[in-house]
Amino acid sequence: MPRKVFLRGIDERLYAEVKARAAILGITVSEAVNRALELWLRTPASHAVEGGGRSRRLVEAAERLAEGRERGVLVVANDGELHALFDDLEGAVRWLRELYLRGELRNSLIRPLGRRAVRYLEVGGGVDELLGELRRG
Amino acid sequence: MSCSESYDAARRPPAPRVRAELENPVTGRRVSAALYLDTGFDGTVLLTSDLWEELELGLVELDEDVYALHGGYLPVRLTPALARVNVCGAWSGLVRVYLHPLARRPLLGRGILNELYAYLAGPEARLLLSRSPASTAW
Repeated sequence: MPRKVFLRGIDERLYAEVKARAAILGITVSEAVNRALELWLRTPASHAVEGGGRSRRLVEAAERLAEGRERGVLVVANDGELHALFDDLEGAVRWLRELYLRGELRNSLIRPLGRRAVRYLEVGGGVDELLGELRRG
Repeated sequence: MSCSESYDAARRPPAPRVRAELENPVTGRRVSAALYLDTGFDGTVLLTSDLWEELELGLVELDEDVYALHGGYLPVRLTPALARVNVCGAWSGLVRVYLHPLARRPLLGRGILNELYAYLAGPEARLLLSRSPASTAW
């Protein structure tokens, strides 16, 4: 039995985006919210809290340490307590593995340095499945 | 090196897939998974939440902004991480792999497929993958 729920504090911009996306998909906002809640519940706990296996402190430390650096790879570990710079990703992985083998690695974030750009990857397969998932109901 | 794999006959129509070994380069944890060939996927490997968790890839996440575009629209934020991938012995390397929060099947995209020779023997429902054209006895 569907239930009526009134929520306070919903971000206005977010709500407008949800409404627009729902219209594109031909579903109601309620259906979109239900799908979003289902998705959130299915998301691994580590990703549901801080947007990834990363902690807020890790992200902040990476932001701070990356400032003014244009080359190489920055690795931040253990909520920002440790960090190191490498020429390439292999070097970063080796360092993290050493920490892990010593039992000293709690969390980490790898940040390739340089101009930050958003990348879009086309996914050929799965669009019907994805829309089906969102339209299900 | 080459390998031959059967299509997934449970899908309608049957779909080519290949067995791959995925490894967390930091913890060494390994998982074997059947990746569906997707020549329309720009990336390397797209993973489901289950595989991501099993491999503990949260420890090797990359701080990059990446989105999946489905059919040219509907952007979905992806989480990138590093993993060692071995595609049926025909290809291996340390690459960026991506967690898709909605994916129900892992995909193998052109980021790796373009380094391989692939032959789709559709009527026999078999896929043949090879590193070089010479080793393809088809």
